[in-house]
Amino acid sequence: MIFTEHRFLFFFLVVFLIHWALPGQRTRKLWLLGASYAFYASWDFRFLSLILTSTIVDYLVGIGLARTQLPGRRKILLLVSIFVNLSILGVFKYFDFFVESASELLKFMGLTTEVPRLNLILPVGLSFYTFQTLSYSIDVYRRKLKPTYNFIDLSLFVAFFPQLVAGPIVRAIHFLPQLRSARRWTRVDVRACLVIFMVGFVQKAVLADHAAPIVDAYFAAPDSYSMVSGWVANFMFLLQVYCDFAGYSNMAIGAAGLLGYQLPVNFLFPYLAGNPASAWQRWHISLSSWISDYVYKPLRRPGQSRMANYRNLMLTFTLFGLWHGASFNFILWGATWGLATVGYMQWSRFRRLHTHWGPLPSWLAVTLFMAWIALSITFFRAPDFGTAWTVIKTLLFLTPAGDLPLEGFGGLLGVGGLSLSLLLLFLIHAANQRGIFRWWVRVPSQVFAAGYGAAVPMVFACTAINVEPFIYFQF
Amino acid sequence: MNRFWLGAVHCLWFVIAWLGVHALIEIVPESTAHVGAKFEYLEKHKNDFEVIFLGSSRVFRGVDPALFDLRMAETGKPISSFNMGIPQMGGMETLHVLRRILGLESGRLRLVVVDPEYVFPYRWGSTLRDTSVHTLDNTLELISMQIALSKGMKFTDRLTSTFRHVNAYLDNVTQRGRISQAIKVAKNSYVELLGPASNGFATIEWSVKLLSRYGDAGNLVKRQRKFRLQHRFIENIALPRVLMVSKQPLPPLMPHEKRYLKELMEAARKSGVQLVFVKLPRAYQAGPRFLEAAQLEELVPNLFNYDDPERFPEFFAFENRWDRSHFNAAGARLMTLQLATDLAPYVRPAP
Repeated sequence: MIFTEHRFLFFFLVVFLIHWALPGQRTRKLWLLGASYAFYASWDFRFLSLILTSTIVDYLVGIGLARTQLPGRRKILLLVSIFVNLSILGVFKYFDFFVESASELLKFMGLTTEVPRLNLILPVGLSFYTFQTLSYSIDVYRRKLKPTYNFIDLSLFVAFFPQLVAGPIVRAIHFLPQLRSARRWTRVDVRACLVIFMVGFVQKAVLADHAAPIVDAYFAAPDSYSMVSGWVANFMFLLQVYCDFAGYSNMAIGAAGLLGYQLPVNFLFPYLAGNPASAWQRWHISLSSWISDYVYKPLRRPGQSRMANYRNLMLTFTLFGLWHGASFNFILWGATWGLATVGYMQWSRFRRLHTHWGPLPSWLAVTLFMAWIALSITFFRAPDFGTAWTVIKTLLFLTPAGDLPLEGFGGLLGVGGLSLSLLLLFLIHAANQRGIFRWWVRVPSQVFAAGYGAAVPMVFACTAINVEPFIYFQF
Repeated sequence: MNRFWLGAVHCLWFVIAWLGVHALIEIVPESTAHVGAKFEYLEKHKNDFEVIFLGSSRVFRGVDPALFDLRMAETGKPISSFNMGIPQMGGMETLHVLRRILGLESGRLRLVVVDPEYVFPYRWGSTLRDTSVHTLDNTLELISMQIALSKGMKFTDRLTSTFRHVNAYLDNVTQRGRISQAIKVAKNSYVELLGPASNGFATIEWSVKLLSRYGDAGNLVKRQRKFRLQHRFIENIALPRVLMVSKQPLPPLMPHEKRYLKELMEAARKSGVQLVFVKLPRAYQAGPRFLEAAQLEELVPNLFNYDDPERFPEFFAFENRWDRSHFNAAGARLMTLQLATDLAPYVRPAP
């Protein structure tokens, strides 16, 4: 069930109406939990057992941590939680990759072995809820959060359907308190939630889904297309991946808000950041802050050298890449971001030491930065390393390109397709910056209702005909 | 005004604005791509054809009506035929389209040659034609067809398939992708599906040339490239595997497959049109075998099975194929000539 499908809209309407019609917070939570499990089961009901296992283990670990003050025992409990959660993730997501990589390495060394493969289907959203449950155990261990004794609360925190399959990654420290207090309809900012839901819908169904076939066509046979087509396709993919994920996050925030719960903002126009360090404070914020809090900061030691810091950064970014998918492409993609961040930090240091080197003009910084991410995102999109290398060579004039032009949207419309999409994206950004959305939610209510009613069919008419699954579902 | 009535007024504003804009958007022409493209043409020329070929892209890329007609004329049977093959046409859609064709009550149609795919799963997905086909009447028909045919199958599968029809109907009602449809029309998918001779047939070579102009040929090019790269694998592993599968005992005919075939034949019988089943070569991949099983049970009287590398090695020869599933122009020529030879006794020119 994809958020932009009618069946999700219908499902959400039913959940929403019954949620607010039910008396009492406990019954509402039970209803939401049932709906969340039903939502997840619509993909594959067998994987519910994994969510339940994670929830039960972390519930017991949380209670165990509350009942003991002995450091050794607390550490063991934390390790149990980490072991169980990462084992599930490891078996379902990474086992085959590591086994195949080991086999390749042995083959390279002249040893051939038969390796067992599990060929398991990757459960949707596994990485997302694993990180959520881990954050709960770690925060309880660090005594930042009191464990919950309410199993329903913890289960709903793990399985809350608006963000279950593709984030934002919610921290228990932010979400559990919301579950403890009663939700009131009068406190819901309905208009803001509806607007953010529609913005997300437009990003996903209009922009990302229109870009998808063009990008797919290019990456299906990259050596057949011209160099310009390659750059267009890579920029299209930048547009697609951002609109796809930011769109999902916005719809999740809107849907959760309509049910009375706040989710954290996940995107702040990252392509305009102008440098890699700032970009990760604006892209998939919930994951980058998670990685920063639970991976990068624990690696840091007081008084450590600059090189040690760079090493930690490289390690963190490589893990970040690996989180996205079990393949060398993603590892390489993460590593390129690590290198870029290290390079940027060195450059900043150089500028501090040589003050006559002023900062780059912001337009130039943004342009260079976008060109770089368009190049590096090849590793993210290409199905394998060979294809990625072919694309990179084409983009950098290292190999003769094909002669097929890549024109999405057909003929003349195609030439303008990318520009139109970027323009729309820019308009969304400008509207946000200038507070137009805030103004829009404050217009008289009849005007808002009529405006929203008029916008809905226009948005439906402009959507792509193919409902593409969210890219981040696979992670 | 209390909160309830205020809410109701807002909802009313919302609905009025929606319907108003919805009516305006209807001005944008609806796409006639895919089934619509061919069907519209057929509707306009319903009394022009004696023979119609129906099936998936194997039929679309493999049967050349012009050559077929020429061959028939040489045998003293001057007829006209039309290729109604549509990429990814699944079993359910074949039945639906057959009913639509027969519903045209053509005074000239004598023979429909069908190459049915698997009956389930429901394969249309969110395609352009999926949406345009799902008018209220069609949706109700499709759902009842689905329910009737899938008796005895897993409840969840039946439910999911039914919901997909409802979803597609809602896509239709909300005019989902109407602008994309208009763009598709601008991109000439209409021309591609009708083919250069407007008889529903297009060789892949011709399509690649046409679609390259719109940057849409990538998928076809990729398929050919993959096929060439897998040459050795296909000849040494895939083909022997297909041969091995074809020699295994036939699986029993499932109840829904029986019902499906009966529905197809009943629809044709009522319209006085003869139905002939063919199984075009799936080449290197084991296809559905219910037609052979049905022939054994004498449910299907007329079946021509070309999916046999021993009897028809030329259909599996590398130089006659574009990719694993489709003929190239040379293969399509061979296939059509074979069909013309085998179907000659069934073809009757209209008086």
